[in-house]
Amino acid sequence: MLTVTDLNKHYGKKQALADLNMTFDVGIYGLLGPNGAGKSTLMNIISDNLAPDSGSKILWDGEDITKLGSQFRAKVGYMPQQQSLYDNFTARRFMMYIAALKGIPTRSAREQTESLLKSVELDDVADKHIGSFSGGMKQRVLVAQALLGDPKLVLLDEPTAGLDPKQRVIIRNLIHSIAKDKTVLVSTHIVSDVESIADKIIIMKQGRIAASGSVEELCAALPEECRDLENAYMKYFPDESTEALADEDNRV
Amino acid sequence: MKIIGYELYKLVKSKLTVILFAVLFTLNLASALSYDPVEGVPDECIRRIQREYLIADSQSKLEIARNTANEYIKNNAAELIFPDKTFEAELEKTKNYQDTMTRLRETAMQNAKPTVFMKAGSFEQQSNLNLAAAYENVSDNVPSYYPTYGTQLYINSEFTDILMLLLILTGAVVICGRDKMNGMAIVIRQTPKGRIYTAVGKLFSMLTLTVISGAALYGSQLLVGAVRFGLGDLSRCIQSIPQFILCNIDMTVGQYLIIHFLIKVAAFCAVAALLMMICTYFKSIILFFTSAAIIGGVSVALYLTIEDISAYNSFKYLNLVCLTQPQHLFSRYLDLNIFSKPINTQTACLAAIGVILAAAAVFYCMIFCTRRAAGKGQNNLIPKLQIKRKLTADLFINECYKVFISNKALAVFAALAVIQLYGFFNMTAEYDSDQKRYDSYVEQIGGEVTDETFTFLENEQLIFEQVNRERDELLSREPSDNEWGSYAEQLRQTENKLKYKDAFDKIYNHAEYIANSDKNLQIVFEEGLSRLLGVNGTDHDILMALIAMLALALCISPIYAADRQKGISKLLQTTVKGRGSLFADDSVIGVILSLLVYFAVWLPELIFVINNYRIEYLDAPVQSINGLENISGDTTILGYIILVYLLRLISAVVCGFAMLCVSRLSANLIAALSANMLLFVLPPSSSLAASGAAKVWISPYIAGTPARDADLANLAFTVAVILLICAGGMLGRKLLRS
Repeated sequence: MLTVTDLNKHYGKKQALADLNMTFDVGIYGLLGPNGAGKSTLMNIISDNLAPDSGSKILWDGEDITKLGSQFRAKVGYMPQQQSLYDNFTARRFMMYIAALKGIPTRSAREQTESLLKSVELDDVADKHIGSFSGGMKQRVLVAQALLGDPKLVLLDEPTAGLDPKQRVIIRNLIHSIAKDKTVLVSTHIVSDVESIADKIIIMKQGRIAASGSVEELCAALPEECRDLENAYMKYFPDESTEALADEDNRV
Repeated sequence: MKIIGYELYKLVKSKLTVILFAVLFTLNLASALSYDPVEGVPDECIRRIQREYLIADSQSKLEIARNTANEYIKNNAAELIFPDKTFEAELEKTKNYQDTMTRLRETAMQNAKPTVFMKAGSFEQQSNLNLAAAYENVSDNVPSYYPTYGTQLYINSEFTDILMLLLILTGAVVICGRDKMNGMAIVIRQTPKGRIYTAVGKLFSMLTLTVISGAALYGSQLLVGAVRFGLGDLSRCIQSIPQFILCNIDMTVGQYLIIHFLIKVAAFCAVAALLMMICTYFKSIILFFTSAAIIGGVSVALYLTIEDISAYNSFKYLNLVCLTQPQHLFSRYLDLNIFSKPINTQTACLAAIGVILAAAAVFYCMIFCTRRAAGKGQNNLIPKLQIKRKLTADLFINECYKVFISNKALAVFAALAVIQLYGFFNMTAEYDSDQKRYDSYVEQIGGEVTDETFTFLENEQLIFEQVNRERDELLSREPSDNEWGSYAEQLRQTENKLKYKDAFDKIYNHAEYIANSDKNLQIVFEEGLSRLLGVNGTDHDILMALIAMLALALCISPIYAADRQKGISKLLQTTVKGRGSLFADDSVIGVILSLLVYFAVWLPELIFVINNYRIEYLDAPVQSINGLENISGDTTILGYIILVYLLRLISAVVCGFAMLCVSRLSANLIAALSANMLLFVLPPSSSLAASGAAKVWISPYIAGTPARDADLANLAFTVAVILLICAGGMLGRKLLRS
């Protein structure tokens, strides 16, 4: 279980995260919010890539993650937002490299690599250089490497960015299949990515939690005819929805 | 114009360029301010000498100089300011200028007469005619000599040239490489003005950087020279400066100072355009730097090894190194042999600058506008090595693959190995005749100096006296007609024996020195040991150190910096072994790279010396070698050799680790490379350009010459800075997290 207590983060004078308190148990959690809401900052802090302000606590099974150090990182699978890969590595070599960094024994690493590349439908191009991959293929490599080592906490930052509808369905199904005994945090601004798979949705706005709950709970207050997560999300960003409508009118 | 403006804006906004410019400008200024042409003589003394020269007549100039010097330095003023009678010799040359010109023209006309060995219309004949004609218009000049330290600081500025080169190298990478690295190249190129306009804009901003840097760096040299020492009467003819006494052009010193700047900057502009062309062609910065280093190294080698009057002197003069040294073009009239036609060097070199600049600019634009300019390194020139083995999850092996293959360390090492092998197979044992004769004496009396040694030497002395008497007797008589044969033979035999006299005197003096010393010294074979230990000059050792540091910087800089630049550091740091273990493995790889470079650089010379020179009496004290008498301590020759090589090894490993820490602290590859070049490559480069710098920072330790070239203060400073860099790198993790 991951517990976030009194989480604050400032970049100079700008407050990126303010007084976040959350608990993440086994299941899929969707982090929704526009650009600049603080989703990636939260991901970076949880993955111990960024230090929060003092007084903040991130606990894994009751223990501070900074004190756990590599023990915590052994349980984490992280997929960053940027497509940062080694262009002259093959997909297979890249997976084995990440496996080496995760301390996975060679034989197990090979098995997991084959299995995961097959899951993301990259098994037929496993020996091609990543530099020759499309954006979507690179995204799938990143998803696959995050799942190496059977991590208990999986952090996926914009996992479906750049993917076509079919590939997005594959990724959604993959996330759903692995979440039985894991805590999966999916950060995205595409509502449909998490609508069907997330156990709980957390809507973030300007570094704070605007709303949280299951899809049904968030949609409960909406009229029958527009009871979906997208409208529930738009409820918390009225200015953006008004601008969108005005643009639509102007085009017409 | 807008595109040009934006390209200039991007360049100015580059923190790396601005910081590097500031640092190099400061270094250049410090070098100019610390330039000490005559140790112990204050600047005011030199300025007064020059001022009083202006009003004195030619008869009293030397007297004025001496009297002025005596006011400032109470003892040995003449010896300090006029060592080896250089000053007087140069003053004599200017006094005898007209005679020199007359003799030069007459000799040239004489040599231009066709003979059976030199046909009419041949290169040699035409060249001599040209030479005679070239000095016609300067024969009536009246040079006016006085100390030229101010102009020398500006004209002979090799250290500034190195700084300038570093600046335009970085500029080329920033201007050409940055768009590729941050992915903007593809975006820019698909716009209407994203190809030829942008190419011209980038070229213009590079040339602007070159001109401004040249003005700042060389301008400050001139200004400091003028303030400290004075430039003298700028309207005097250029032949007044000793370096240009044989210049065939009628111009003033002031005109030459301007021409010097213009040609230098134009040459560097040509170099800049060439670097841009290479940087755009290669996808990898490492390959670009390696290529630039190879081209530079070949240019320097050609420039230094080819003689002025060789049939291949075109390769010496139409060479990037020479083009940036206009003082060599104007020092005398010379023709280049281009397809057997004599072409004046000055004309040819100026034309070459124009041609290189134009050609490089055109090719750069062509390469930029083609498809190859886009992309992030997918189509590398050097084929990737496909290691045919099963992949492993061992972190060390994967890191080795990343460093050697992905980051091109293997390519760099291969280039180094090729260069070193070429150098090894072209090494020659420089044994002159006197040295061979000296060694023949060492064969007889090498080792400890005993009474028997002196008995041998005294016998030899008697033999030489006898031979001298025989020679004198032969020379004093006139042989008869039928005695010529035997007479000539006897004379030849005495001359052959007397050829050993110099070597004998040398070993005799050395034996006496050893006998009077309290260190139990021995007579040893010196030539090989002198070569190995840089007794006759440390330039070779410094050059090897420079090559080693350059190779290490190219191999080690990308280890962390490339990951930071790609943005993958965050992902790696999230893993179990992505922090401490990764750093430990990378440190081991850094040590391996340091060892490989060390052996590649220093081993060839050692093997060559062992195979081609006599290396004996290694248990003798190191002070037995001429030139190393002042080494402190009781070390044997073998012990000293081991010490020197061990010091080089330790320095290579420590510098390699420090470079790794710099890489860890750097935000991107360009910053890491620039920082490592500045910290570890610039010092030995400066040592080659200005010998005083051989004692500074890491230069003595990487070259293995601290016993002669360093002191405790420098050692403390070096250790402190290295520790600071390493501590900064070790703390890099905390900087990254916050």
